[in-house]
Parts: sequence; C-alpha cells; structure tokens
Amino acid sequence: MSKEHEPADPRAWATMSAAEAGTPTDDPDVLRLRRMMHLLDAFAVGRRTVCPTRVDLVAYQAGELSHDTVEGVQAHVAVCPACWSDLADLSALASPPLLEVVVELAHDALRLVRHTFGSAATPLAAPVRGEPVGAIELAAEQEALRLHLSVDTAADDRADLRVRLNGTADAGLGEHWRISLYRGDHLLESRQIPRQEPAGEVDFARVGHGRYTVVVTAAGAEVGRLEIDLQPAHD
Amino acid sequence: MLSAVAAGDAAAWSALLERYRPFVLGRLRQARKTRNWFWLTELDDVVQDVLVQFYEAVQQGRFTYRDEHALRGFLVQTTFFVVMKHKDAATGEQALSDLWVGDEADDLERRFALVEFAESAFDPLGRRDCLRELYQAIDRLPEARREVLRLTLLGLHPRDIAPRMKRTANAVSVLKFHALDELRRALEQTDFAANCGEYFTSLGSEP
Repeated sequence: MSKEHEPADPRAWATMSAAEAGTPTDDPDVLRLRRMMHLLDAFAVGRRTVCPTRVDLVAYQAGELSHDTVEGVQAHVAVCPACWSDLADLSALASPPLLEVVVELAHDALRLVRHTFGSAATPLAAPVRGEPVGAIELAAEQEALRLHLSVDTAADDRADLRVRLNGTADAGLGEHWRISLYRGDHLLESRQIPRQEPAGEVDFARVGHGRYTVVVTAAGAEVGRLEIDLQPAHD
Repeated sequence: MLSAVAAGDAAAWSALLERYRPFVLGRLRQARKTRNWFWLTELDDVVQDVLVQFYEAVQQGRFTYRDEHALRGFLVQTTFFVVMKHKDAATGEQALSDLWVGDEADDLERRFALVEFAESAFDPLGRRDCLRELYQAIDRLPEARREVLRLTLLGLHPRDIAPRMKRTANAVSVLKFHALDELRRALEQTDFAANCGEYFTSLGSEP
C-alpha cells in the first residue's frame, strides 16, 4: 500500500475491512460494526422498505389512485431516487414511438388529429376535388427520420394510401422498413421496402372507408404507427 | 381474435404475436435507449416473457379486450414489471446508483435527502417510525459522516464513495467506521433498540 493510500487510522480501517469481509469472527468490535451495517442495509433505498409498490406506481401513472394516495406517492417520488427512476422507466415504456400520427380524411381534406412530433408537422397541398386531397409531412429532428403520408381520393370515393418513409435510424434496425396495413385487427397488406434515399414508398390502393392502422417496423421492432380514419367525403 | 386465443386457437395466437410482438419490442428498444438500460441485454427474452404473461392473462380471463388503447396499456404495464425484475437482478449485483447514468445519476443522488425521504415514507409494514428515527440520527451526524452514510444508503461501497467525496477508498472506510460507531452510540441514547431491535436480530445478540 502506498503511503498516499495508507489509512490514517489503521485499527478502524482493519475493523471495517473485517466487518465487510464477512468472515467468521468473535471480535466484538467487528460484530458491533456488522450489526450497524446490517441495520443500514435493512433501510437502504434499494430495499424499498418504505416505498409504494410498483403496482402502486403503475396505478399512479395510469391515474387510478385515490386523491389521498396520489398525494402520498407524489411526495415520495419527489425525494426517492429509486421510485423516481422506476417511474421514469415506466414513462419511457409508455411513451409512444417516435412516429405516431393520427389523421382523418373527411370532407375531402386530410386533417392531422395528433402526432408525437414536437414540431415540423405540416399539412401539405391544399385539397382539390379529383386531385390528391393532401399530404402530411413530418420530420423528427432528433432521429433524422422523415415521414411523408399521402392520401389520394378516387372517383368512386375510395382512397389510396401512400406512405413514404426516408431517413436514418439506428444501425441495429436493419436495411429495410416493413409497412403493414391493418383494418381493425386484420392485417390487410404488409410490404417490405429498402430504407434508402430518397424514400421508400408503399401504396395501399383503393381502400374503403374505415379506421386503419399503418405499422412501421424495422428489424422486428415497431418504430412508428399511423392511425388513419377514412370517412366518407361530403359535398 | 382474443376470444379465439382464449379458446386455445393457435392460429389466432400466431396472428396476435405477429401484431403485438413488434409493439413490445419497439417500446423496449426505445425505452432502453432513452433510459440507458445497459443492464438489459436480452430483449428477445423480455418480449417472450411479456407475451407469455399476456397469453396467460387472456387464457385465465385476467385480461378482457376493451379497446386497442387498453390492450397496449396492458402490454406496457406487463413489460414494465418484467423489466423491473431484470433491474432488481442488476441491483443485486451493483449499487443502485450504478444503474443511473450521467446527469441523472447526479440528480438522483442529490435528490435523496435523509429527513425528507423519511417524512415521505409509505408505511405498509409499520417500519416508518424506525426509518425516521434512524435517518434523523444520521442527519444529526457531522457533515462528512452523514454524507458517507447517506451514500451508503444508496448502496454505494467505499470505492464508489471515494471519488464523490474526493478521498481515497481507505479514508472512506475509516470515515464510515467512525460514522457507524457514532451512530450506534447515538441510537443507544434512544429507544431505538427496544422499538426497532428486530432489524439487528439476524446477526444474533450482542456479544
């Protein structure tokens, strides 16, 4: 041991080392110290001795606790690093993917209902009857992902859905996107497209009115989801 | 589709897997990246565990379909509980604060204030009073001794505490020895042993 690292109180250091080593001993100083260490361990934060359960945390996050209990959980989470960390983990899991877009097509117009992009969600192209009713282009700045969604109407009042994707993503997400179209629980179509510039593009032709979900996956993981409600156009 | 799964329809289960496996995996990947879950390596195992639990919940009637939002919420909650099992396993191998990374680690360590923590304690098993008395006794120690025990309560070992307190690990061990000794003497002046003595019992009686 170098002089620099030599303990100032060798006896205290030796007793502490023996207590931490856990080897059998009848030294009363070591045993006393172990009892104190055991006491601290019993009330360590990681033991969650006095924390709400994780079921409580889930109910708290879902807004299913009574007012009084909410206040208690709130006060505790504010000062408990273990619970704060757990709740942040839960929130991360509950957060929708980077690309989540809800649009409605009604009255010949494409309407953006909600999306998960902080900014840069822009409806493009004013609808003109007989022409594509519009497009929504969204950019996720952090991940350099871009999504271009087009919905085209046809003469018989059915729509074509066109989904264009480009951008970059984690290398672990493979070289392809898979874009699947669901109506309710039913998978209607699923296509694989290269994740390349300028854009991968999929057309789902002539789909009828109803609620659709377009799920975008890469390497088996869902990276985006679009919920689309196609309603009848009205004159 | 769920009613078919509940009835044991294997094809319906396969279709359900195809539909929701990407959802669970996507959420896991995103959360692992956001939260720096370096301790979670086998995502496929987690997904499998979640989907098996989902299957059992459907089979046993613990989950009934209300709408898509509720179904996804159930999957998120199930995923959370499975991930927490992995987190607890990782915590058993290292200090709790080692699971936190970067600025969050600093923030969480600072966030942990002894008296405020004791005051906000839940009390499922009547341990709140013991915890409060212990934490208040620690809070009354001189600053360095209080800090070494505060960090110990976060699960840190002397070698982890050393850089935080700008001391050598040996110096921290000595400091901890004196802190525990002073704490013991302080508690002996109170009814702590009489009221909370059960927390000493696993090491036997005082020699």
